[in-house]
Amino acid sequence: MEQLNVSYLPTLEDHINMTLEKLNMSVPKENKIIFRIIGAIAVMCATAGFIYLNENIIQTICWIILTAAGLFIISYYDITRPYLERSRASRFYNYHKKDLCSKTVMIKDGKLIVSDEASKVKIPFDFIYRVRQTKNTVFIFYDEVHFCYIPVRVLSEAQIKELSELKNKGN
Amino acid sequence: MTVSEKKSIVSFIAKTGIREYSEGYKLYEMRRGFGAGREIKASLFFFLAMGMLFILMTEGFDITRLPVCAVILLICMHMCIYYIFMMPGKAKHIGEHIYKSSEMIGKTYSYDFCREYFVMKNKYHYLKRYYTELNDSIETDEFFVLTGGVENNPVVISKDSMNENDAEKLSGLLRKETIKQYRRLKSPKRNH
Repeated sequence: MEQLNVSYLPTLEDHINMTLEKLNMSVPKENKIIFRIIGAIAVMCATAGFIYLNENIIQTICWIILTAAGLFIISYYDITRPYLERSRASRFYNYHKKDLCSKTVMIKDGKLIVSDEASKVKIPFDFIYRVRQTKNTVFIFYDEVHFCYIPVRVLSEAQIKELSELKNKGN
Repeated sequence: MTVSEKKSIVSFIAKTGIREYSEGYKLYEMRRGFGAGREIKASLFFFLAMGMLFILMTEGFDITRLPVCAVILLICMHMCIYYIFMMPGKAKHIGEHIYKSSEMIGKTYSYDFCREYFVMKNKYHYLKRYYTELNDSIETDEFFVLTGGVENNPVVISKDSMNENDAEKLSGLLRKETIKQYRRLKSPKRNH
């Protein structure tokens, strides 16, 4: 196996891509489908109620609220949540900009080494919980929640392939 | 990256068990994670539920005339119960999952607390954090929880493997160096 040695300083775009792609990974597809179905049902019920069961102003307001709720639920995982996460990631990055330091990721002598100014992790492949590659980011999970990430832009094709092999060695 | 013994104020070796880690993780999530502001969210849902109840009252609690209000009322009540009673249990459950899935958290670490920073290290992991980076410094009867840094991951230090003298010295040091972030909380009851 070729020795991997990559150093990078995460940019705002790296951080936002990482946040959005992690959100995408963590939400099951079934959740998105269920949300869209529930939202569609809510909108259809509200439309039917508005047409056939509309006796007073309070009922009208209820149907309008239900329509708004339905549209919100349909668009939650496609528009609302990504927008909120993008804003939060941007604020987080700008707040911590001066504390961010470059990370070095190495594969050497059968071990994964991730280091920066304040910390160093040096673990055998067996300790890796999961490796996932998305469009812009490679995630290396130490456990269900904690991970390090490498932007795809700093990796060559050979290095991406090596990290995929790491996934097989770790599992 | 070594810490000289002269600079270190408190040094000890400790290992964190699954129970301490899950309780510590729960505290972290309730203060800084998905549980942050849960009382406010629960209150908003509560007031919305009261609003729906009031609307239903005006129609003589006839839910066939206002089914939407009844559904929103039920959802709001469920969310109140979720935020207040179910969320802490969920956070503790997640903490247990993290502990079981990690090969590093359950290992023995050596800790060195100096005047401006602390270092935790073992064969696999080295971490240095300044007290100024900490968001929270929480102490209970059974463990310490320190959270901060860019990743904001919690460090849970069990008092089980520390002697009483070291625990007191560490408590005094954290009270002094992390004045704003320090909290002394009661330990949660043990469920057997």
